[in-house]
Amino acid sequence: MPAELVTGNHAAGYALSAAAEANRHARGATCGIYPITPQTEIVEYVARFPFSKTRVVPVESEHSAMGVSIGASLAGARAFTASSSNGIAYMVENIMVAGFYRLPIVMVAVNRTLGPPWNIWADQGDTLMLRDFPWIQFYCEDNQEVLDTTLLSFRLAEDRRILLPALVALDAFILSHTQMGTELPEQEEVDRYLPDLDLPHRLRHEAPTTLGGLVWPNVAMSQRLEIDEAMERVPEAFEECRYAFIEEMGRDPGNAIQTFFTDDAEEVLVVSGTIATTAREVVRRRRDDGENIGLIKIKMFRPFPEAAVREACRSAKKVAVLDRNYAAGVGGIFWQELRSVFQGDGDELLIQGYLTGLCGGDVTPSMIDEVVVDLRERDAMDKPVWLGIGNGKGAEG
Amino acid sequence: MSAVGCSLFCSIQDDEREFGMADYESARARWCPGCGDHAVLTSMQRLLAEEQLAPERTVFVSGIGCSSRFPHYMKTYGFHGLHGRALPVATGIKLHRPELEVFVVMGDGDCVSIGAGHWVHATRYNMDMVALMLDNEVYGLTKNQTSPTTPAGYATNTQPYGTYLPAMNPVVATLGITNASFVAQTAEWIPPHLYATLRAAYEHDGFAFVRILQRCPKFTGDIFQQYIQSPDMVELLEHEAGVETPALHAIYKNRRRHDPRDIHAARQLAETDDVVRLGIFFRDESFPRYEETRSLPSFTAEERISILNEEFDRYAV
Repeated sequence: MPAELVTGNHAAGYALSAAAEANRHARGATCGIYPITPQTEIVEYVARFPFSKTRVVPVESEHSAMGVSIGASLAGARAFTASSSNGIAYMVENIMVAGFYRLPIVMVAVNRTLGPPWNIWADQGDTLMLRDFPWIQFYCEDNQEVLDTTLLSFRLAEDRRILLPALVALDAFILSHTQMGTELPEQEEVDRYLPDLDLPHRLRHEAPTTLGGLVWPNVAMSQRLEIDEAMERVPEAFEECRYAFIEEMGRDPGNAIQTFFTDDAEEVLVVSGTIATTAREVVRRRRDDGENIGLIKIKMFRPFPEAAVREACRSAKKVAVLDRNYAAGVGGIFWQELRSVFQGDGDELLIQGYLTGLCGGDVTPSMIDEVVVDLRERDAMDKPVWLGIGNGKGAEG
Repeated sequence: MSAVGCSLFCSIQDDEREFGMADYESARARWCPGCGDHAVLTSMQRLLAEEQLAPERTVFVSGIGCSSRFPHYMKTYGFHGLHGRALPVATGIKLHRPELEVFVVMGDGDCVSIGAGHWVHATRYNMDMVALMLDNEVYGLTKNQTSPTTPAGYATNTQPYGTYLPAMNPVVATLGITNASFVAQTAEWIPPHLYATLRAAYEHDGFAFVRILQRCPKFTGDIFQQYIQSPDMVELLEHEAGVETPALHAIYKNRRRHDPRDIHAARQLAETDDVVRLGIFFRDESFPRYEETRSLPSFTAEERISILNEEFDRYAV
C-alpha cells in the first residue's frame, strides 16, 4: 500500500472518491458540492476525479449540496458531501432531513469557527451544533485517521442495522492543509471493504411511494424510537466495521475512544481531534517523570461511547476535559457529555472543564501543563477555565 | 419648540464639516493588485465626497466574498454579514432608519448564487437603496470555482473540464422581476462610466440594481481583456434620462440611444449578447416602494383594545 504525503483535505477527497468508485457495480454515487474555506480542496478533488457512474453536482449553496445528496441517496446512489463552519450552519435543515430519512450519507466536515466575527481557524462548534441530530459523529487526529474513518463511515452508515448518516470531522488547517504521510488504499481494497449499496427504502419502480408525509404524533414518535434503537446498535456495528477494516487494510482505523496510560491513572485528560497529539506527548513526559496521569481521546462523539469512557476512568479521581468548542452559558460540550456519563454514580469524580484553542487558538504543551497543574490543585469542580485568550488583543496585542 | 430644543436642532443643521475622499477611507484595501474592487471603492468614495454624505448617515452592508470586504475599507457604518444575506439585513436597516443612505455590496456568488432568493425579493420590495453586484464571473475568495455567471466552457476547480451551462445574465433576470425600478450595467475599468452609473443609482428613488463587470486578475482576467483591448465590443447606452458620458466618446464609438423608460427595449437589449452593453437599461420611479406601502394607520389605546377583542371573538366558544 503506497504512502504519500497528502493533506487532510486530500485524504478525505481520496476516500470519498474511492468510496464512490466502489459502488460502480450498483447505483453509482452522487454528491452536491459547494466550496467553503477550509474544505474547498475536498470537493475540488472529488470534481476532478473521473470516477465511474457518478454525478458531481456543483450547486449554488450548502443547503442544496445536501439536498442533492439526499435526492441521490433516496434514488439509491452512494451519497456524500463536505462542508465547514457557516456552510454547515446553512445546511442544517437538510442535514436534519438526511438523518430523519435514514439516509446513509457521509459528510466530511472541516471544523472551523462559526462567524461572525469571521475566522477561518479550527473550532468544533460547527459540527457539535448537530449533536442532537440523528447523525453518527467522528473526530479525527491525523490524516490517516481522516481517510480510514471516512471509508469506515460508509460501511457503518450503510449497514442495514444502522442506516444513519455519518460525519467525519477534522481540524481546520492543522489537518486540512497539513501534509502527512498517509497510506492510500488501492481501489480493489476499497471495493472489497465497501459492499454495493442497496438502500432498502430507495425509490423503486415496482412500488412507487411517497416519503415524509404528514403523520400522527405516535407514528412520528416511533420514528424517533427507531432512530434511538439504531443509535444503540452503532457501537457494536462500529466494532465489526473496524475489525473488517483491519483485516482488509492491515491498519486500525481507531477505536471509539483511545486510551493512553489510563489503567492506573488518577488524573485523566479527555481530548478530541488534534489536541490529542499534543496532550499525548505531555502525558508521556509526565509519565516518564513518575506522575500517575493518563489520556482519553474521544473519536466517536455520537453515539457517545459512555460505557468505554466509564471503564477508562475507573481508577481516575480527577478528570480534565479540554474542549475546542463552546456551548453558550454552559462551557465545553465534551465536558458536558463527561458530566452526564458520571451523573449520579460517579459524583466523587472531579470533572473540570477547560476551554482551550477556541476559535483556532494554538493548544501548546505548556497550556496542557497549565491544565494539569490547575487540576492537581483543585478540590472541587468549578466553572470552566478559559485558556489562551491572553490580553484579548490578538497576536500583536 | 423650546429654546433649548431649537439650539440643539440648529447645531445639527449647522454641520460645517467638509468631507474629502480620505474621510471615507478606513483600512488599506487588501484585495489583490489589479482587482476591480479597488476601482469601485475609489468611485464610491468619490461619490460620497461629492455628495458630502456624513459617514454616520451612510451604511454599507455586504455578505461574503472578496468584494464583501468593502465595508472594512469605508469609514462609515458597515456590516459584514452572512453569505448571500446582505439584502435582508439592508432591508431591516432601511425600514427602521429610513434617513440612512444604504448601499449593499455583493459579488456574483453572493447575489445570484447562494443569495438569489433575496435578490429577487429585494428587487420586488423596491426599497430606496443601492445594490451593487460586483461580478467577476467566478468565486474568487474560495479560489476559482464556477459561479452562475462563469462563461460556458470556462475551466474552474469545480468544473475542471469546462463550465457546463450557459452563464446567467443577471441584467435580463432582474429586468424580469416584478416592480424592478432601476437596472444598470457598468464596468470597473471605465471609471467615468462607473462613476456616472453609481451616481444615477444613488439618485434613484427605489431599489437601484447595478451589475459591475469586474476583473479578477487571478482567475478571470482573460474574460474581460477582450473588452478592454477592443472598445468596439462595448456598446454604451446613452440617454438624458439615463447616463451620458461624452468624455468616453472618443474611445467608445459604439453607442446607442436608449430611453430607459422603455422596458421592452431594455429587455431586448439585455437579451442580445453580441456586444457588452453598459448603461441604464431601465429606470422608473413611479413603482411602489416597500417602505411607503408599509405605512400603517396609528391607533389609540381604545382602538387597539377593540381590535384585540374582535380577534378574541373569532375564537370565542
